[in-house]
Amino acid sequence: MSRNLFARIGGTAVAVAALSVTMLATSASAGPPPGEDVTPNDVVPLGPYCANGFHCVFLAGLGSARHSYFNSDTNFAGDTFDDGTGVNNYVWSASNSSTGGYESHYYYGANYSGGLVFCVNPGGEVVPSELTDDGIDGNGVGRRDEASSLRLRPGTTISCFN
Amino acid sequence: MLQLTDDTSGGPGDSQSPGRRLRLPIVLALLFVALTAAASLVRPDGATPRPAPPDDPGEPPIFALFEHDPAAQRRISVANERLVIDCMARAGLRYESALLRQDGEPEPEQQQPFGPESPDQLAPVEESGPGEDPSLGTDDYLLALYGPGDRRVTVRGARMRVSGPAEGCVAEATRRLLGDKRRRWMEVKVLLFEAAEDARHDVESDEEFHRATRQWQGCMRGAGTPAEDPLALLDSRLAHQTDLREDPAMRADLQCKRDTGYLTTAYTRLTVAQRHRLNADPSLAADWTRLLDRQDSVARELLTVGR
Repeated sequence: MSRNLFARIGGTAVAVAALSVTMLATSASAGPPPGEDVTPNDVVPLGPYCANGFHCVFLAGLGSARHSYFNSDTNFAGDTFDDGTGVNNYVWSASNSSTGGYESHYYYGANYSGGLVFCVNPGGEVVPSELTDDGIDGNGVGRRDEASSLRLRPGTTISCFN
Repeated sequence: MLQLTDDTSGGPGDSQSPGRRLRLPIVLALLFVALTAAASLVRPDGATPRPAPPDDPGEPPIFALFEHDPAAQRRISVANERLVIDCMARAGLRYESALLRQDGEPEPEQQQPFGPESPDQLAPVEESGPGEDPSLGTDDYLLALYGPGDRRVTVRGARMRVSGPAEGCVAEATRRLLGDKRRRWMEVKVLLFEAAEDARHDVESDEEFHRATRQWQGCMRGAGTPAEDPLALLDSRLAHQTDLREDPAMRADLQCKRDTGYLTTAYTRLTVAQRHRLNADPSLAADWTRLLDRQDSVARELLTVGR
């Protein structure tokens, strides 16, 4: 089970609060571009949660404890979210703010081993707490709490999320 | 929500031996199926298919969709990057595309739903790219690329939510390739991903798969490296952070998969499970192919004009 449930609940609360503020602040923004349906309920902030050029992972929802990667990382062991919690096998959600067209590819094992957990396109986000989870962190089953390494790859995998 | 359906055959003649006058048509039909299957393995772009286990039962259909027409997928990616470059240039900004700067072709991602299948998959991946360019980290740059942070297109599957920028050059490029079908494309990707997950979960309750796992377990005990199943084994070995190529248990895993035919059974059952999931919503496979073709058509035009 998740070892830091309270941190996650707290992080999610922060994310929800920030989302609410942003939605209020942007309610008068310009309409969607032609041919595209952008509904108010779909508004999710990007920039504040993952800085320019970074690939970000979160302990819970967007806006919760974060670790930002600028390059590939072969092993999350030893990396910590900004609340001190270890990153390895505790990635819940992810955001990609690449400035060079790099996809974020997350793997079950270190050194990009064990198969692909999921991948995120430039500008894409996999939004909080809804990746599948079997409740056992790091056991290679499900997608949440499983990632152990990140590889930046040029954008060729069109099935990545955006 | 995707639902499981049953596609087992149950016609009145299923269990009866065909009469002599029926044998020639049946042989011809089988020959046609075999030739069709063989032809499907020859990729028109000459791309190398992913490694297949011995007695390959055929690729699970969702994985086949993901790997459908890699040349088209490459064209779409290149066209997308060129559109982003042009759009950023109009804003007076230079976009350095990792894809267009790369020498050679990136290795395709390989699905490993039952753990490693060959010794090369035990080896660490030797690949180090140049990474992000820190000189581009300005707010104006990100705004031009992705638009305002509060303008997003979001889709939901049964369990997950995914979003991408609604404005900016990345969104503009995607809109050029997909027209008003961008949301559906995003949705299809999420639903296929979830269907693949569901199918993998379905296999866990399949009796033939259980039998194959028991045979694998027996083989592993005989090798002196007992384990519950290949994924549990892989997880326990990954925790040691060692080179898997030097790990006796991982080598035994590969040997036992070969000796017991584990992967053949596993992939056969996964193929059936994925087919069930796809059959529950035929629009997924149809829309994936249709929207891939649409993007490729636009990409071909763009790349021809750009020459």
